Amino acid sequence: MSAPTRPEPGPERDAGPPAEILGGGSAGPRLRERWTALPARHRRLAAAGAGLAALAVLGAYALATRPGPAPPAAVPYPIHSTEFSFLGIDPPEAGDSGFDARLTATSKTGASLEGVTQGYSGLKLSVHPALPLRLPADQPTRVTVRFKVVRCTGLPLNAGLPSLHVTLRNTRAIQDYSSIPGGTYAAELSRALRTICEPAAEAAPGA
Amino acid sequence: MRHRSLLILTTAVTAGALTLSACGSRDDDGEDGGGGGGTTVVIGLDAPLTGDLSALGIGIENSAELAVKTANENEEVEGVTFELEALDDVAQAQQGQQNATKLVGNEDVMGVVGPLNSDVGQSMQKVFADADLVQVSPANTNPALTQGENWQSGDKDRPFDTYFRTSTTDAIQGPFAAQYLYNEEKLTKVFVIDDKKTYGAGLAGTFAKEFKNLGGKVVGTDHVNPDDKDFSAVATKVKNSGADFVYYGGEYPAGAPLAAQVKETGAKIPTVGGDALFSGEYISLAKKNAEGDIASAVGAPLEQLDTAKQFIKNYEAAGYKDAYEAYGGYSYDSTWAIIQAVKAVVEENDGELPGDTDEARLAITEAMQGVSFEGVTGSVAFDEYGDTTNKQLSLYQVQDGKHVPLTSGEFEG
Repeated sequence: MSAPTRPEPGPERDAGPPAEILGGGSAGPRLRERWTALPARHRRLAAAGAGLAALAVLGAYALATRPGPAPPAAVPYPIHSTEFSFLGIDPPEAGDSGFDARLTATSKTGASLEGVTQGYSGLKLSVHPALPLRLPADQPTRVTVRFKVVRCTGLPLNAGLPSLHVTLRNTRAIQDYSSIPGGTYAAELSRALRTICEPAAEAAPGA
Repeated sequence: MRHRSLLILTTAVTAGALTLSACGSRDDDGEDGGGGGGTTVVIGLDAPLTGDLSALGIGIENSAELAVKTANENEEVEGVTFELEALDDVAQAQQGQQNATKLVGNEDVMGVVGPLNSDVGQSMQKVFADADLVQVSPANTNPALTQGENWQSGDKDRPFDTYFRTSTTDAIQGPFAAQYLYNEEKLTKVFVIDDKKTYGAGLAGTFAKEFKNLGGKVVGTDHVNPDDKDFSAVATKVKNSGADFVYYGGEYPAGAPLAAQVKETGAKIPTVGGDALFSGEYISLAKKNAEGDIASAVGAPLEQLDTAKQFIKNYEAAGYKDAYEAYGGYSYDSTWAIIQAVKAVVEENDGELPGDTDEARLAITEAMQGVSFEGVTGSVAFDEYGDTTNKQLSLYQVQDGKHVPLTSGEFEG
């Protein structure tokens, strides 16, 4: 049933002046009697108004008590969401004092590579592409680390698990950590360093 | 029109209220932790629950219990209720082996978490392998347990298909510490001491080898009895050696008094060790003499892992008297790995475990190799040797009576 087909209400009874309501209502007409005394149109309007008020209160309560929107999941710390894979070291050419290590860096959520260092004063590192280097989410990015030997003394010619100190940044944090590329990296790094520093110690850089 | 609007509003509010009601009622489910009823699966646990190493062992037990409770409350495996049976090995290999035999004898046991000590782990491996019963250690770090005795020569050979672990190994832990101390702290002279046990001697060996490879000098070596408390003789040797620091391969009950007595000789040098020194008990025992000492530990600091926050919160809410300690997160993940393996078998077997115990255990062991989930300590999965694929580790220094993270690294080879 829809509103336009609803029959018009008939003539309404004059209820006279409203009775005074006394405390407790015992002396006046009861609520039910007063309700039934109202014109039908007024009763419908009152009922609809009360219904809307109840729904509004219910809605407001629901809105007020609903759990807040879940906070957006925090971006993982950069060191927990970024991985490096060692691809290989290009051996140094004869007479060359430098060599390249090739890596890929992959960040699950996107990060920036801010720095690559190591602990030896006899080695200078540079990175290509230049830092800071954006690491798009889930997209392996090739990184070439150029090692330049400036002094052979104290270099790790036989390190078992050498590492690269990496600085990563994302919207959550800037973090340093040691990336340990593993045994193949260790072997190729040692071979490259020995090629430069061992064959002719007297002629080696800084010897 | 007004009635139609009213109807729409009524419908929307009612639907909204019902949705909110439904969201709110999920928390009420499973208050009794009853799980799905049906089958009961017992997860065994072996750790030192009494004795000097009990701080670590109780952290392992509590964390495993929390995982079991969580699985039951969430009905993680439909139709399966998990129970934990924890046995005390008092850090002794012989007792561990007896416990392994007892757990194998209980036909409801479908997986075992533990142990703490590598030598105890060694004593249990064959017992479990003979019964096809899977074992996941949260704390064993000796490489030989997964890669065989010849791992150092590159000849890796997995000895037991039933053995897995969620902690990384001393093959990484020792060299990582050596790199930091030589390259970053610029310390070049070390006095290496170990307790002759599987864990301690192995760890000291991997450390010393890498330290020498880097150019560092081992100015002295010695062994101690882990049950001793008087180390004055070796402490004097350390002082006279001129070492920059001590590396101790062993556990905190001997490591802490050793470090304290070295400092009491007047040698103001730090003691450095592995994950078995990474305990609040180390600091309690050595007191002020622990200041400046360094310990490596497997994994990233739990407090810095998003995945660990809920575990830490739940552990605190559970009201355990003792801390989860160094291996709590790894114990939770070890237990959860067994639960996930059980789940995989149940789902593959028409909703129930195979009725035959041997068949069920073998299926769960085989399923473990493929388990993969985001755990407390990060991504949990296992490589072809049963080692964790999560190879993070960290160094901590005692500062103002607490272990403070110094640096973290990850083996990405």
